[in-house]
Parts: sequence; structure tokens; C-alpha cells
Amino acid sequence: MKHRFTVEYEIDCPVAIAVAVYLDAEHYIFLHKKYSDTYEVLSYEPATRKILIRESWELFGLRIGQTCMTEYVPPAEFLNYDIEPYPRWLPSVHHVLKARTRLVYTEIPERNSTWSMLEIELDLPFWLWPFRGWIEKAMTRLKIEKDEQDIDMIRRRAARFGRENNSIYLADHQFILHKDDYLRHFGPGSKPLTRPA
Amino acid sequence: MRNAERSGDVSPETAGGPPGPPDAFYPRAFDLSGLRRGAVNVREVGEGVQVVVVPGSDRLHVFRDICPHMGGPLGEAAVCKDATLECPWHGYRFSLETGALVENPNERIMAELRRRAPACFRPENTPRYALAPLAYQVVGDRVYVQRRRSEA
Repeated sequence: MKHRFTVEYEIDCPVAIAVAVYLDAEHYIFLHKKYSDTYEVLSYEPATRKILIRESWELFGLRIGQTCMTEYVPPAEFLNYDIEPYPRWLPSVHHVLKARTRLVYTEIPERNSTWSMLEIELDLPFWLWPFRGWIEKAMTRLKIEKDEQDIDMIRRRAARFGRENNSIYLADHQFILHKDDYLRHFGPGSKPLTRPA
Repeated sequence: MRNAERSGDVSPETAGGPPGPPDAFYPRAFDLSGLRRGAVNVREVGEGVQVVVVPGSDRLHVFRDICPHMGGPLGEAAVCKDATLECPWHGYRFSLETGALVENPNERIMAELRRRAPACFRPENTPRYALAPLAYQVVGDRVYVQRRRSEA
């Protein structure tokens, strides 16, 4: 049984910054260490921009977590799917619930700001259906909490280096995921984004 | 704690103010005795400037509360066992002793991805990120942080 919902709001920064922060994987387990302290790359397909990752954390001395396929669709769309528990034998809701997310950033030209829209699709067994509202609330809260941490970082960076300054992400030495695509769309000489109709 | 390396002799005449030209120091001092050892202490030294202070075995390690990488708040940094300060945003680790970048743990964590991005990622061009240690002087129980020369 499918349950779909959307989490959307404005993020006060240019799309180039919002995308850079998402692709800046170096901050995942440091700024967001409250949620996961280990991030591993299991496979990478450059041609399709798919990266299989494993995020894990320790609970009562046991390392648990999840694997997830992540996909970047330039310039500003991100997919997550095929979420599996880690280790596989771990009793987990992911054995019975299939989640798929699509995050899209679009430009708000009048404020040079970003509209963040996260679409979530849950495929639930009938016995979890009554709990769909609770699951939706939990996922929404998690999304907002992580975004708030990112927004704090964005604001502090903007105060020091300038609101539109993405030069650190473009620098030779700075690693971000799918950097070639990021440079193509947000680097020097890139075309301005246009808002979809 | 021994303060001899960076402190001047304390006399009753100087105990109430900075031990040198006022312009050479930030205006607000903080208490030496209030610092937690081996931990990050955040102190406001005036003019909107925050510093992080980590008491070592024989002196204080004092830096601005700004990571040179992306401006992260070092007041939220962790002090690691190898005497480094770990930025809370990206995990870059800086020597408490010298301020030099000791490790970017993402070089290990992201090794597989970094290796596959040769066209647009050149780690050999890495700038030498470093924290600039701030000098200080202790007068009585008060610690005065010196401005860097460019600020004085």
C-alpha cells in the first residue's frame, strides 16, 4: 500500500549553495554525527551518478545502520532508494517497508533563494498502514532537523564569506560528490538556472 | 598550571589591566581558574571576537573560534587524544601545539570516490589550512589575549 507525502519549505540561500551542501559529503558524519557516525562507499557508477552507501552507528555495542542507493540528477535533484538494513539479519522496518525519496531544489528568483521539495513514497504492508501518519511525522522531523543543521552552517558561512560565494566548493582541493557535474552547472561560466514552469 | 612561557611577572600595579599597550590586547580578559582542562572553552574577548581556549599541561592553546576551512565553529570542536582539535563541520583536525592541519579524515573515508574524480579534484593543490595560535598574557588570574599583528 503506497503512502506519499511531501516536505517542502524555503531555504534561504542560492541553489548553488544548497546543492553544494548536499554534495559536500565530507560533512555528513561530522555535522550530522548525531544521526550517523560512519559513512562508507560500497560502490560507485560514475556514468549513472549512482553511489551505494552505508551509514551506521553504534547501539548497545552493536554497529547497525542501513545501506542506500543515492543518485544525483543534475542540476538539483537527488534520489534515494533501495534502502536495506545493515546488517541484513537485523530486525528492521526496512525489511517490510520500502522507501523512496526525491529531493528537488528550485530557484526562487526574486529572493535568489531555494525551494526545497522532498517527495517521499512509502510502500507499506497492510499492518503498518495505520502507522503511516506516525512514520510520516518521524521522517519529516528527521528531514527538518538535518536541514536546520545545514542552514546553521550555510548562515555562518554566508556571514563570513558572502551569501553567494561557493568558491570553496569549486576549489581544486575541495572534494564534493559529482564535482564535474556541479562545476558544469554552478561553476564559472555556467548558465543561470531557470525556474521550471 | 604553569604560565611562565607566556606570562609576565604579576605585580599589584599591573593586576588590574592588560600587561602591555591596550591596543595590543583584546579588551576583555577571562579567568584562568574557570577553564576546564583538556576541553574546549569558549570565551568572549570583546569586539565580538570569540576565542577557543584549550588548557594544555603547561600552557593554554588559544585560537579564534573559526575553522580556516569553511568557517566552522571551533567552540563546538572536540579535543582528540592526539592533541588535535576536530572541527565539528567536516572533521578536519588541527594540532593544538602548532595549529597546523594534521588530518582530513575524509581522505580515508572518501578514498574510493576521491580517487575516481581526477578531472575536477586536485588534492595536491590543497592550501595549507592552519589555525593561528593567539598569544596571551596572564595577570593574576586574568588571561589577556593578544591581537594578531595585522589586527593591532
